[in-house]
Amino acid sequence: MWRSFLTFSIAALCIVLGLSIAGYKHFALGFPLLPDSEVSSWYVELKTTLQSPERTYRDAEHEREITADILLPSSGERYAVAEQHVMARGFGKQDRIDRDRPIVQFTKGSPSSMEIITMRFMLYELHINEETTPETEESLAAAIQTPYAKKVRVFNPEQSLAAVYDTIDLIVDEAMKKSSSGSSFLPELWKILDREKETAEYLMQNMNIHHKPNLMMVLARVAGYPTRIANGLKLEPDMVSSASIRRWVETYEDNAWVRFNSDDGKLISPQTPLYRWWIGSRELVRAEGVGQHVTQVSIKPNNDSALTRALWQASKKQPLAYSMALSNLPVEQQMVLQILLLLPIGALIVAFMRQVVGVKTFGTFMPVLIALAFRDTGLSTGVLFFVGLTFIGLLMRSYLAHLRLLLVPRLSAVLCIVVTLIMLVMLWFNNMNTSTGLSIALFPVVIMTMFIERMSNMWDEKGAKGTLIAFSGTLLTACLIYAVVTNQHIRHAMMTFPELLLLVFACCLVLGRYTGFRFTEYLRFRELKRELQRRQMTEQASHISSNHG
Amino acid sequence: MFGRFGLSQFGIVGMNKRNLQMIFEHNRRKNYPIADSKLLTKKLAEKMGVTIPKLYAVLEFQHDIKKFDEIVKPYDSFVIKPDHGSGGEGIIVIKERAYKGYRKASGEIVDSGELRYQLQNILSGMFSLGGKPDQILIEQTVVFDPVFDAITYQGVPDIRVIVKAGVPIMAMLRLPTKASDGKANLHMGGIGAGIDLQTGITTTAVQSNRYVERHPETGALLVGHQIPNWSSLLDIAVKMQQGSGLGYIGVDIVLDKFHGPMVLEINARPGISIQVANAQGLAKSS
Repeated sequence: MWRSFLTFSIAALCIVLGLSIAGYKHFALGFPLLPDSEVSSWYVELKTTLQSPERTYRDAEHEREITADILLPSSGERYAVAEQHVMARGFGKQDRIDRDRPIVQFTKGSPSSMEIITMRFMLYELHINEETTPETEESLAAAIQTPYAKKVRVFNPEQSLAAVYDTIDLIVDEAMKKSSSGSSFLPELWKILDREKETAEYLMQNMNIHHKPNLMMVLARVAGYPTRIANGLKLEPDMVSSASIRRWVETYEDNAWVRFNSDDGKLISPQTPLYRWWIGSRELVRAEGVGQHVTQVSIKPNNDSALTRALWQASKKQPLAYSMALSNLPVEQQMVLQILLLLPIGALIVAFMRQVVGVKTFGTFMPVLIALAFRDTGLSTGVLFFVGLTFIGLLMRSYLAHLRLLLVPRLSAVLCIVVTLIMLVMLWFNNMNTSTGLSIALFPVVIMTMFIERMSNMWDEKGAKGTLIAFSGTLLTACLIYAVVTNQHIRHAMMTFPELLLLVFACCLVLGRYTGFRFTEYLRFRELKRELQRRQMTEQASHISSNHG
Repeated sequence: MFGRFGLSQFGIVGMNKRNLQMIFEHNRRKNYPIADSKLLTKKLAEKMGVTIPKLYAVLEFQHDIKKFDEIVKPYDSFVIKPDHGSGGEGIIVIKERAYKGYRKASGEIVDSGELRYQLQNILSGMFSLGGKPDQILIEQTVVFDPVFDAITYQGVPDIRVIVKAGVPIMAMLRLPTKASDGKANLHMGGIGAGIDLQTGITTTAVQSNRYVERHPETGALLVGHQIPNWSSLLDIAVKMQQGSGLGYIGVDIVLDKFHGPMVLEINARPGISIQVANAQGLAKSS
């Protein structure tokens, strides 16, 4: 009794504490309970890893300096940049402008073998003006420039200049004949280059051009259309942990830049959420004095503009609440936390299903792990995959039983089978051109192995019925957890109000002292209850009759 | 929440309540090993002067298994048990030697290689909690008292007595059936017959959650059987509970034709199906 009292007191305390912190954040600081329905801002994070080259003995004497130039994002007509932070420990930082592009240069005198520079900024969508301000003559000049001989340099001395020029003229003429403007010229040009692959290759080799968009730009300029290369990001409503930098061609027409996708040969509609980071064919990060450098860009949609506003206000009013906000963390860590914060909820569901409903599951946290795997694969694929893998694994395992293997080597053998099955499924998915295959890699392989082994043992000992009941229990619980952890509102609530964990904690405590019946026990004791009721009735009846007697 | 289903008014105890109010309340975790290891249970029984099947040998290592045939040479019949097994899992009863290998109680013949593989599985921890490496006990086979022959189908009838703090609170007779494959486990289709604690006479019987009057195979009436030596049997159960340091246990006892009641094992987490067998709630009787 005392223990129950203590448990319930602690639980009550946690609930009060959790609710009051969340309540304060919501009512006093205006943290929103629900996420936005539409995304209008994004967090972008750039992480550059610089690796020093293998150092020789001689190098060690005079330390080499490393430098990294990173193109800074700038606000355009559609997206504005805000809250730019740079993290580069021990680096000297210098801003400069290179051909109208703002660049930040990092330098470090005695670098360690691996250095990391991170840059975070926020992009938010501006209301698109119907009338975009036209470019001035001056600013356009760079995009029109076609000093024929100067721009189109021929690098292969064995080829005559004239031959290359002739080829260029041939292609440009054909494309121009079929088009009337820059925006119709580019698709035609693309079609020709796509058809005449060898010619395109010939031109790129002789003009020292490495990318197709660049070739298209040069050819469009030859045709007299103001054209440029643009690079940037596609802003999508989902979190992307390694976004690719996209490169496209832009041509100026009717006082606006029209965008063209040189991958599929189509114009990009103005509604496509593309952020133009920089212009020109320069790469995002240039590094010197390093062996290798890798840049990763992650994008996290901020479906919480109200939260951003509230946080911004709170930063003055209530600095603690601001500094404790999870959205201040790097995007990668936020992604990890998103999963971590949902784990206790999943575990709570398992506890509920076991103690209150009485559903049997394999292992305590197995359903949680399966649910997380489903998160990556999607529910239907996940369930199909899980069921298929388990049963094929079981078949194989039952064959292994004939070979009489020792326990641990047998487990290892089952692991080999599971990995092979996953590999085959990935190949199969790949051949069907589905991207699901990739995320299946995250399926908990080792857990799967233990699962198959335990199922197979249970099958031998307790028969098919009990095994299938526990299997469906596991699957059912996993699906329930999946429904909860993929719920946008719950995810948002946990990330905005992490103090809600106290509530989960309290629920766990209360469940831990739950002495009531499990739902399935009403079935288990159904006959017993009927028997007891029957006895009660006969007892009463005999009472009545004896009273009469 | 489910008050209208009305199980608690009959004093029926569910798993949650059993765990919290009976097991956690009365059983200290440090005393669990005595109940979980059959070897320790045997030692306790010896200390308390309780009869148990004689221990022939303990196999601890792989190389013991190689010598298995040699070890069991002096015995015609014997029982192989995992030290940490529960619910009768992993137990192999060898009735006699066959032309090639051994004949199990079910009549099936296993060759020496097959048997050694099963021994290896036990050692690897196939039947122990959490898959921990285990030991193997080889012990004397019990010669069952023929008193239950009429209501037994191939196997081991045993008596489960639940003792709480020195007092037996409920008991049942577990009878093997064809469905339970010679095992007396209720969840495998064995029969559980409730026993009146005062008299030691069976009162009710249940199979697969249904009340039955007759044994499905033998057709004999299940109710009204007197368990011989009832009071000494209860004494044994109480002794085991008191010696174990556990406050709430189930004691499994078999009746040997020559040696009388023998303790097979004790259980620190006795199941709650015994309530169905007795048509009585555990909370009422304690």
